[in-house]
Amino acid sequence: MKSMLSNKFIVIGGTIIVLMLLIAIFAPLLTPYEYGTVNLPNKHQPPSSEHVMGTDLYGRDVWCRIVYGARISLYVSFSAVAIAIIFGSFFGIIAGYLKGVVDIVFSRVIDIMMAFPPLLLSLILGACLGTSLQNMTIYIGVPLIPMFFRVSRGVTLNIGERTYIMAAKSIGSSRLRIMMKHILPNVLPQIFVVLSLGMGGAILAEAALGFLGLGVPQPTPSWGLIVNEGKLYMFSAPWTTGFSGAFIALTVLGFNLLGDGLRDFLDPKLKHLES
Amino acid sequence: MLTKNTDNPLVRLENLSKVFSVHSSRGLGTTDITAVKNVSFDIKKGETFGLVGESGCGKSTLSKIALRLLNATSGTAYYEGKDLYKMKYRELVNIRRQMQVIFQDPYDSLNPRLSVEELVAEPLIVHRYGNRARRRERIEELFHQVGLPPQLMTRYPHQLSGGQRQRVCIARSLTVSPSFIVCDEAVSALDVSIQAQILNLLLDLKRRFKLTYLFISHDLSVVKFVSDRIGVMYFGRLVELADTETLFSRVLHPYTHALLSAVPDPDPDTQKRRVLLGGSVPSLFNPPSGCVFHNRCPFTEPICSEEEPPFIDMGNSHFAACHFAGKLNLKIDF
Amino acid sequence: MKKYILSRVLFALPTIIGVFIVVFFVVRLIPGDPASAMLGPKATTAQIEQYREHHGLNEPVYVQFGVAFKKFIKGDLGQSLSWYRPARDVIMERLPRSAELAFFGVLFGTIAALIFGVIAAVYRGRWPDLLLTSFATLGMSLPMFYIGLWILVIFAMKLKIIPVISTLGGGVSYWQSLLGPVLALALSESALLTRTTRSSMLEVLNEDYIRTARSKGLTERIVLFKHALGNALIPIVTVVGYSLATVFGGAIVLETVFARNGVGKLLVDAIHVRDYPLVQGTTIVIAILIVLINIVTDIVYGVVDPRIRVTGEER
Repeated sequence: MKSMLSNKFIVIGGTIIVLMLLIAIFAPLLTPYEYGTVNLPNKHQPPSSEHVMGTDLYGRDVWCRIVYGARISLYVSFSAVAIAIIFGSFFGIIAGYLKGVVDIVFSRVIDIMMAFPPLLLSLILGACLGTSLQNMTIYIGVPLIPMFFRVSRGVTLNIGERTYIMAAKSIGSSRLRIMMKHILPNVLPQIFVVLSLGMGGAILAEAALGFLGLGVPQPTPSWGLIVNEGKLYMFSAPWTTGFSGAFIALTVLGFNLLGDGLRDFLDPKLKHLES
Repeated sequence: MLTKNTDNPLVRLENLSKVFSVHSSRGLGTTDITAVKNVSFDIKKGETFGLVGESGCGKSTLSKIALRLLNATSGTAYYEGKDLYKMKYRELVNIRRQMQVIFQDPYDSLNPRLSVEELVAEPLIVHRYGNRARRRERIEELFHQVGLPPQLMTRYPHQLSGGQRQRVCIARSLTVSPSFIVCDEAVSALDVSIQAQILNLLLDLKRRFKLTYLFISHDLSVVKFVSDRIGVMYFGRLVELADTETLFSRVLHPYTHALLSAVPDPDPDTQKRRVLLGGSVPSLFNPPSGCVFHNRCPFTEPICSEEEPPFIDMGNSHFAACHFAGKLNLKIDF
Repeated sequence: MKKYILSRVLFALPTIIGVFIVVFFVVRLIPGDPASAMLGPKATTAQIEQYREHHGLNEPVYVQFGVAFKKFIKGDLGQSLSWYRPARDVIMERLPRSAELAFFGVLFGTIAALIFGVIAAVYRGRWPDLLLTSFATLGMSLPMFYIGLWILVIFAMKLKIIPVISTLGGGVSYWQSLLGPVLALALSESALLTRTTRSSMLEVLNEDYIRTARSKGLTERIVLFKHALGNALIPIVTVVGYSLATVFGGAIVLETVFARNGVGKLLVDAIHVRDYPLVQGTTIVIAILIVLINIVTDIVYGVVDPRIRVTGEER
């Protein structure tokens, strides 16, 4: 734990993420206005002491919307990644341990999923499932499954041949027990690294879908939606999209740094090359 | 053929072979390599069967396919007369408690993420033995039997010494009260001083629990010390098999002869003539024709590269696979 | 080599068929009646019934799938509802717009990344390295549309050297229409690749043959660009190849930002007007393109990397 804190990527990335989580949790304390109050005469006000990040096309305070948007965006991303981890690592461990036909079938399905750019897969799933908060976690989560599948399968293949797996087999442990008790604990640290990078991907996906108009439906503010509402006024009132985009970038940066740091931390071999 | 004077062997291996398909990373086709070829022998109840050979000769693979920890390519293995290769998954899991393995590298055979107690408790949990307290009792008893102090229970494998780790492995395999234990290079990774301790522990446990051992090692002096019978493996084949006494008094295969001559002698005054083998172990990708030993054998004749010699009984249950078995002058100058 | 190429191609066929199956069934996730969804809200009951009959929607799913698959093999992707033309023709018209965006974006992004990566590796740990790696890390975290929007603000509004709507005609030259989206794509591409180039270069610079080359008295420039970069290229080629595929995801966003008439914008528009045959067709075409690009990458990788790695089970 101590040496983990000596990695500057982990510290910087972790700090950014903790800050964002605090903002999301304490949203009501940080916002001087209601995020949904429409005040048309007050629309498109530039940043001032009253509205630190200006107002949007309906005269709503951009800062308040971004703060509440953090809740939705982080919630959607976390749920999406959770879905991807559950399915990805479940099938990945099974494929890596049982090998043979099971592995071939699962890996082919993942190959097919990877033939779609993640955003494209999200788009058509979104177009066909319809946009709601629940559906959104599904169609952001599904394209992330291959990432977790490949990591879990790789780690499992690697340690599946280790002697202690043979030893566990020889004392009569069942396949299920070996996968749960011996393989899963070895897969989890790697999952953790990918989780961090996956979170960055999920937040970017939510933003991109919002930008394309397939995000969380009105009036719930999510970062993607705020970006979308401001994009047409990029020339006259760039602050709406400008500030919300900056928050997205900062959060993704936090997760990317944390992921990089964790990878270096768990795989010291690469460390001398990266820093 | 091998059963002539064995009544009810505990383990019987029949023509076991294992072929691995080695493929390039990008699927440019595969090559088959034979790691074990047509190995048959019996292990009688209560005996220690020693299996000796250079590293890479297929000993470990043989032990794994003999217990069906890996699937054999052909041939079969019987345990108490039951065919392991005809068993359902469930039956196999159940019978495995009677057959245990102690592996070479105690570091690699203990999951680094589990504590010593969890490791030793695992077989008990798997086979639903008692409650937590009963298990605890049993683990303490086992620790005592293998000579481990009970305060090590909460440690993790990396905090133990090599000898302690191997004792943990032994305790772990004893939890399920097995009758057959495969010691796969069980002492090779240890310091010489520790080796003797562990060997004595193994022999002691054997007497106490009436165990049967398959003892695998590349070290002939260790195998000689513990075994009742010895099989010699070379390049995936069994080349010679006899009682320990018989083997050391009358060698039939030139490979065994070379191995014996390489055993260091504790008496510095005896002048031992070492048989130095020319060449090197052939590549698995390109096995030699005829007798697999012919390119290194000092007595090689034309027939050796043409015909693979049969593995036959030369009398007194002494088997050898050599065209000239018994006709060569293989004296060891002890 | 021939056998290798053939095996790659054969390996891709099931993937392409899988892509078709996935898209076929995903489109059937649309809640409600596919016919009314396909025809849009303005369709009359008679039209819907006629459509059902014509497209065999009254048949069981597997029959429908068989019919659709047969058409797919023949290259028929159905009729676009919003364009009143075969979906294939509409897509093929738009494809070159996306292809040139992807090509130039990756080309310039790669060139920039190679330069940045080599500089960062040479000045490892000093300020040029820190600056470039920070730029790369930041670039990877910026949403593609965000980069695009700011380029639009700067280049179209302030500098007025590119049009707000990047379509040809109306006094807009070919290069002007490409500048904005290509710049955005290249920036985001180079962010990803700079790090790959840097770590690949650092790895190579540690090798003995670089020390040998230096000790032979070769100039630093020859050592860097001939000996080091040549060997560092292998992993870079792979990353470029596979990123060429994901670039289509970026194209969807950038074409929307710059109002450029490529397949990405076509798809987004089709989703908004619920033109499902066109959505289905565009998705299949993009996915197949990516499978094909991956085959080419595999083959190029096989050519660039002469080593054959043999892996196998334990003995």
